Amino acid sequence: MRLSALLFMYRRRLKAHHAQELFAAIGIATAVALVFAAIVAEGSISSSAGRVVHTVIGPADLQLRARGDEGFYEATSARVKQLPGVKQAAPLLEQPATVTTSDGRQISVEVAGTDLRLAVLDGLAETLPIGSLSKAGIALSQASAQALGIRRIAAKGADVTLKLRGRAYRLPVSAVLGTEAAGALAGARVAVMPLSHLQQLAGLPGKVTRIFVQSKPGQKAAVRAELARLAGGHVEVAAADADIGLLGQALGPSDLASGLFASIGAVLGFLLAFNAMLLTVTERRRAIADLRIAGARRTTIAEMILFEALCLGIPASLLGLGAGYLLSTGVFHQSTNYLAEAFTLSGGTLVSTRAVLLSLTGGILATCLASAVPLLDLRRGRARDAIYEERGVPGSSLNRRLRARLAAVALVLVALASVLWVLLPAAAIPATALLALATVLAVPLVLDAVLRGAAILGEHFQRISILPLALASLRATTLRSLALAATGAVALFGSVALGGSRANLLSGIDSFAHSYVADADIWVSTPGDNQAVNSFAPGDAAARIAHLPAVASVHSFQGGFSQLGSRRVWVIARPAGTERHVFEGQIRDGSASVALARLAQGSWIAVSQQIATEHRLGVGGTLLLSTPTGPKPFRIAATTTNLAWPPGVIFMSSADYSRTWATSATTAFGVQLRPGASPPAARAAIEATLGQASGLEVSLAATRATRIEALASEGLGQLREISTMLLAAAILAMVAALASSIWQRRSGLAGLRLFGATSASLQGILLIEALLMLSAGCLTGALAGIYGQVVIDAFLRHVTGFPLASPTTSVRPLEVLLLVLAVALTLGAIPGWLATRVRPVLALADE
Amino acid sequence: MSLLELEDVVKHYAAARSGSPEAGHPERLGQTSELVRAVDGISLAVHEGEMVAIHGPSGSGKTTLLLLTATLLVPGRGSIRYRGRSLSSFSEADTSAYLRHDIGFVYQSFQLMPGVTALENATLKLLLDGIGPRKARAQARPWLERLGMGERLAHTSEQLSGGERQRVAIARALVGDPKLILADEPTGNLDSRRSLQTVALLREIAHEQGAGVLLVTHDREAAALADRDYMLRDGRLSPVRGHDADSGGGSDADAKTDPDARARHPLPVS
Repeated sequence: MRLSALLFMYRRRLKAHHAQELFAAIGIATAVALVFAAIVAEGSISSSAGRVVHTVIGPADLQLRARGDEGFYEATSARVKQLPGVKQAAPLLEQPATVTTSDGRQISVEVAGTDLRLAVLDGLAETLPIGSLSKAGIALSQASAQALGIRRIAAKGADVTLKLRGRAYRLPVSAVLGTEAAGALAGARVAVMPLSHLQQLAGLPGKVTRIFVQSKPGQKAAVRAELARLAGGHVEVAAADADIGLLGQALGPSDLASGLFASIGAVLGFLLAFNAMLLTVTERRRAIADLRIAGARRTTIAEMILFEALCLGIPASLLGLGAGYLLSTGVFHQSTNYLAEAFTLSGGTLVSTRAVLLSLTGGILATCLASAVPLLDLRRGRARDAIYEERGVPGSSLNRRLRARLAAVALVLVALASVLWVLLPAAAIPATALLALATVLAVPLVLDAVLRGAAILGEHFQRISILPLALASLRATTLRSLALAATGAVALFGSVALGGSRANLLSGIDSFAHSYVADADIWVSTPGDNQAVNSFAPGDAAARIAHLPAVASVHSFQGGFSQLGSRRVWVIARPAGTERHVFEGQIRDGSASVALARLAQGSWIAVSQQIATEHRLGVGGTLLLSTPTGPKPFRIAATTTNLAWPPGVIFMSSADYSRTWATSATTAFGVQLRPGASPPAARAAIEATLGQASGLEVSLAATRATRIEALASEGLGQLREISTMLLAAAILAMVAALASSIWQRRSGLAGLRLFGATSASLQGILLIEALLMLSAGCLTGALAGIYGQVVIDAFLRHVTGFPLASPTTSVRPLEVLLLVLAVALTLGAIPGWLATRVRPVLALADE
Repeated sequence: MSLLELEDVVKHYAAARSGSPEAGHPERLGQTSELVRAVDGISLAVHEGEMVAIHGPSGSGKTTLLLLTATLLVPGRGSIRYRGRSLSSFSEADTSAYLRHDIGFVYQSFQLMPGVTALENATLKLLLDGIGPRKARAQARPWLERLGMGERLAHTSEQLSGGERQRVAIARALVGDPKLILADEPTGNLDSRRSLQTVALLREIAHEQGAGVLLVTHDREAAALADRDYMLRDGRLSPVRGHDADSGGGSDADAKTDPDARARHPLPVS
């Protein structure tokens, strides 16, 4: 067929069915937007973090890295430089801190102390303003300055308070580092100071936390060996860009969870696009029959259908890409705060070619696939006018045999999905996709059952006289009804399955957060340090707090991040008797009481299940930990969840930590109050005791729990985004499908008006139709969604190690069902109202 | 007082420049440039208990006349009164009630709901009127049986022949005892015997139940069964039989019926 002829035919179709095409385009665009936004949301953190790391390390290929935040001696740098094969070496001291402005804005930053030696690396320091590395001020990255509300022009002369290792210092801002000076680091929450100044403020004179090393060409292995010899097991030797790998590992579990959600979102998005096109199948089948009756060849018709699918699919998918991009950048903000204590991250949304190609081709493919459904009428042996012999509106029927076959296929798919997730919990994506597909295939049978049930109800409740009319219309337009019901089914499946799993995760985190803080009434730590990993010199603070009348006891807690293979694990060290609650609900293998006793005994630890599995260890096994005093063996007393810290967690006693980390530094005080003491009043008294020069923060246990919960939940932010997007897309797709379906019903409504149907009765009929179609779809989707949630929960528990609440009898699926139904029906009432005002003669015109 | 009175009713359509316009289907028209006088100054009265037939060639304005009478089209000029009340004064609710209760319209295209049985189709107006489905079926069944559809009640419209569909459409119009029956080519798909039977039934309803019947047909033989018969050509009405020799440009409000014509076709129905 010539292009001009194809264009002519499509123009004719557009003219006759512009509303139908528009609604289909909206459905496809919505689905593509969902797919695109989901994929973009998934991939943004790790890509941006990689840029930050490369900005800092420049050409360095190796590094010496401290195993604790108190670092190692800077003098090592001079020895490193003298090693054979070393071209350059530059030291760096990193300390977590908070910066506060005079108007009370506060952010957590990673303060990097460096000097002009970093410049020799040809990396970051080459572009850094010399002033920021020499004067006694603090240079803020652009992202930090923005978060603090400091404008770049007015930055010089502004004073900020730096709270570092338990002390507060007033400092002038020496510079704001934009991308021209700090590259990708400008987008991260960091601050830069002269090394010596930071060493002085941190109380770590002559200490650094890293030395970046550039080896001479071909000498890397030899240099690495020399560095290892020099480190003597007390300092980590790693690739200069090892943080990327560590971050990748940290992001791994949540990436997997996000990947799962994004993949399921994508599958559902494509199904929504398919359903949007299904709404046009009836009319396309009729067009095909008419063309065949007029003598058109099969290939000509196939060409025409494909051309029309491309004409619709390409612009609709492009529109969806645009909407998805706006959604992922404007509406959903990517939060990385939950990782900020362990990694230096930059924000921003990165759109990969993969995301664009996948979404675009997926949208077009779904459109073409759904458009191809009418081509089944071209099969040999089928009469050209066969659709005109079908029951109901020509081209709209789905016979009983096909319905039964689809249901049988759905059953097989459910069985396959069940086998898959039982045998391979990690295969949740294909299992959930199979369930989603089964849901769609089951809809015809469920819709038929719902219609039969409604007919029986109609016989019992004779007063609903318009019910038979609504049922008659639904039966006559089977494919259209199915498309709408299937849209509802996909929407509910996704919302219930993904939303439910996310709710279980949040519930698990909530439970962990409360048990984590339950071992003290009041907590004293560096500001924003929810994980109690930033150490400070305790001085006599504990003694002063203990003297307060309301205070019963004060315990020093310790901890930090530690490298364990490819993981940056969270080490929690508590004195005996203060870790009773932290295990509550978190034990995976072993007994909490036995574990507590063994931890108190010493040389025993409890570790996350993932860590134990990775090292092929069980309870009683021995794990070698890399500590600042060298590798130390510990026996595993129990395995636990990862307390929502994706790389995993290690519990040990304070005594073991002090000994193996060779530190008396504290990361938090846990304060127990006397019975009857008022926690807020006690907090105020502690704050007064610590004084204004203190850089410590005093929090009630409940406040701290809320913060931990909020921070840990941020790691699941993508899940929230994808779940929300899915729900929004599902509602939009349903409204578009409903509007399209109602618009196509105008002729039928006009027919009823010929016999005196009032607008109110037509609206009643439309409402009953929509209610029955959507209820059938949503009910199928909700039921399948509950099963989907079980599959996803199993995946999350198995693969991510997150604390996950057990699935309980929840009213959530019902809430989602009612919400989706209410919103779709309310929004669908607008086209419904317009359609019921149709002129009766339209029915005569459409003959 | 007449049941239905049309007085100097005019309906013009804008027609496409190329191709012939179809007066009965104004919505099919495309680009407009010239006016077609589908109904051109018609005056007519239909009394209770009488059947009036209008016949004429295709495109003469027969369907338009019925659509105007059913409020489905609005006249450009003139007035149409039902029981003395102008249709133009009807509110939307009045119009709906008029279509449901007062008139029974047999559409040329049947207007049957697809995928629905003959019996369910016949109950349409009753259901819209709030009557429960069971009672509606009980009321509709006798009409279908009377029209020879007793064996086909459970067949969907797609399973029925053209003639059967037509009879379902007629039954639906008659269900609910309307005061005025508007029949647009009700015998177009029926064989001659069934045609005459059907028209005889309509006449019988008119006479027994006191309903007025306005029958539009191209079938002269069917038209001959009516109490009065008119010819419609180019939108203008001219009397053929059953009224005074000259009704003055189509006005025949006082026309008399022709008992002989009725006597010629005393066919039983079914």
